[in-house]
Amino acid sequence: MNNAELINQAREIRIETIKLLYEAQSGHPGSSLSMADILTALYFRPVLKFDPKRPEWTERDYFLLSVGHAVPVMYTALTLAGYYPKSKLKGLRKFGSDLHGHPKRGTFPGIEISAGSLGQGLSVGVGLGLALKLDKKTSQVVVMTSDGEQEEGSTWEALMFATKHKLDNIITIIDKNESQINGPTRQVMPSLDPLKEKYEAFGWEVVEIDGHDFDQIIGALKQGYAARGPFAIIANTVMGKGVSFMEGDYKWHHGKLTDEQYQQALKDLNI
Amino acid sequence: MKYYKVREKVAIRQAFGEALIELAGRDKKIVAISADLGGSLTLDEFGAKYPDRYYNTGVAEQDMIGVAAGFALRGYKPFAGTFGSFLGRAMDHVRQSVCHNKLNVKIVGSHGGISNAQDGPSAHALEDFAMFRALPNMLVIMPSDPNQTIKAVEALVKHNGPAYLRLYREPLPVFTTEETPFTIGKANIMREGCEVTVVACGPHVGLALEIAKEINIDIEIIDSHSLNPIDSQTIIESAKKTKAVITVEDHSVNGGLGSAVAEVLVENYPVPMERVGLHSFATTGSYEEVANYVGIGRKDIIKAIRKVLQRK
Repeated sequence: MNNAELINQAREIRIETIKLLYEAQSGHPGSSLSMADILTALYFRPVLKFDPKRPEWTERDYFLLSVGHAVPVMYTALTLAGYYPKSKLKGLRKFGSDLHGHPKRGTFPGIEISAGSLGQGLSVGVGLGLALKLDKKTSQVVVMTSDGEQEEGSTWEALMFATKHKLDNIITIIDKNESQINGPTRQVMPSLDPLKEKYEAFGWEVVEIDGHDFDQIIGALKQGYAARGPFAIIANTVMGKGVSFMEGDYKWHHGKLTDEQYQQALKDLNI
Repeated sequence: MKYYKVREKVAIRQAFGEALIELAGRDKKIVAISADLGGSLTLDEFGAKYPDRYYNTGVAEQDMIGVAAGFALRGYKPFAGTFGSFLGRAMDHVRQSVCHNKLNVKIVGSHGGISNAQDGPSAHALEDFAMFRALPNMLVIMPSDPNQTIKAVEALVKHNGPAYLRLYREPLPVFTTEETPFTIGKANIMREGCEVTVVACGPHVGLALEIAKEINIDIEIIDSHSLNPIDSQTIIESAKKTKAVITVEDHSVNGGLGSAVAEVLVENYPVPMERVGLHSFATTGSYEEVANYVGIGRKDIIKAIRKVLQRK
């Protein structure tokens, strides 16, 4: 896909995600929208090696969503990429649905790990990366985390361990949307910044990008694939990107949309 | 597999390490991960033999469990081990990264109970049975002697799913042999008796066998090496025969073997019961001193047997 097509694709992903969240009357719109462009790039101009018809393909690259609450946009991206029938994309957070409130391995194709309790995906990704090395595979592991998630100490355990093994098949993308449940990240944990320098001090190569610019996302991913050690992409994003009243407002970490807000959101997304 | 001679004294953590090394020679999918206590679990020897299959995450228990889960995602059979007392901080990773994902990770908690007596209360694992037993599909195993440990490790390698294996620091006498059966979920009746049933695990099975020779009470001794799943049938049948049960474990009386047996009996065949185990944190000292201080020593077991007998 070229950039214009990616922009359209991202808009469709955002619209379908908002529909899910409106229907659920519950969930996490802010980060779903902030990482929508990153997921669009991953699944629609693939650097990532995957096959929607064979989610368990042993030669695939692994995309682990550690920031579990952003799963609505993951369900949407996977569905539109062909993992799941679009006609079934509904019932988020409803009893009996495949679309659990947080990712649950084995219930939705393309979801590699259960998540929700933050700060666990990176350790799992590092273990997976080491296992791929033992298997002599060239597959990559991409772990999506968030800025708030960096407050979990276990993240830093995983960072140290990946560097110890000079692991060159692991990439982490940090969705730096500057928001978390209790407030702006800079307010909740002002000492999180400077994040790039912290990662570098832990031995990771780091690039900082605009997480809504497809060329920068793809460029950083390619750089990560070629890197000779662990690689981090700090993606600066806007909370609630694309929906006027959500943009930059931490209060949309989670919440439910009223009828009026739903209509406004669709309007903002050019329906 | 190489077995130990009866009456030899060997720490089951050592038996574990030796068994894993032997099994890893045949099964290339076995990997070992420690959180800087590889020496205490004899995993360093594993690392010397299989350097590409041994990982030390440093003092980072959460990472150890997460990394193990990552290996299991590729079909490996990771054994992740540290002191049982330090696994508490990794329980969220055990719950989500291992159990929710239904991954084949074997978690090994060494120095169970107060067996690391001289390191003091921070090094005592008194809640691990309770924590692991509450997780769905999580096997919980504590072997009672070195030979049974070998069989348990063998069985766990064959089992596809999460499991907790609890080990002990103190050397334990060998009393089972290669011929002694070991099946996950199936308790072993080590001595038949008709007056009181003693359900024990780990070091207290051997101790109960010694006590049986010293007292004039005909006790039935059940080695409940599997706490989850627990062998309800064997326990109920024994309770029907003796009409009095005690449990003995080096663990808190809340949530461990005593609780598991009480649950079985209350729901099926209530009889007078006493639980020997810890009621509080312990203290520092020699193993014998601390065991007697917390009330899990020889005299405490005999006292519980006499007490439950009076309640019949």
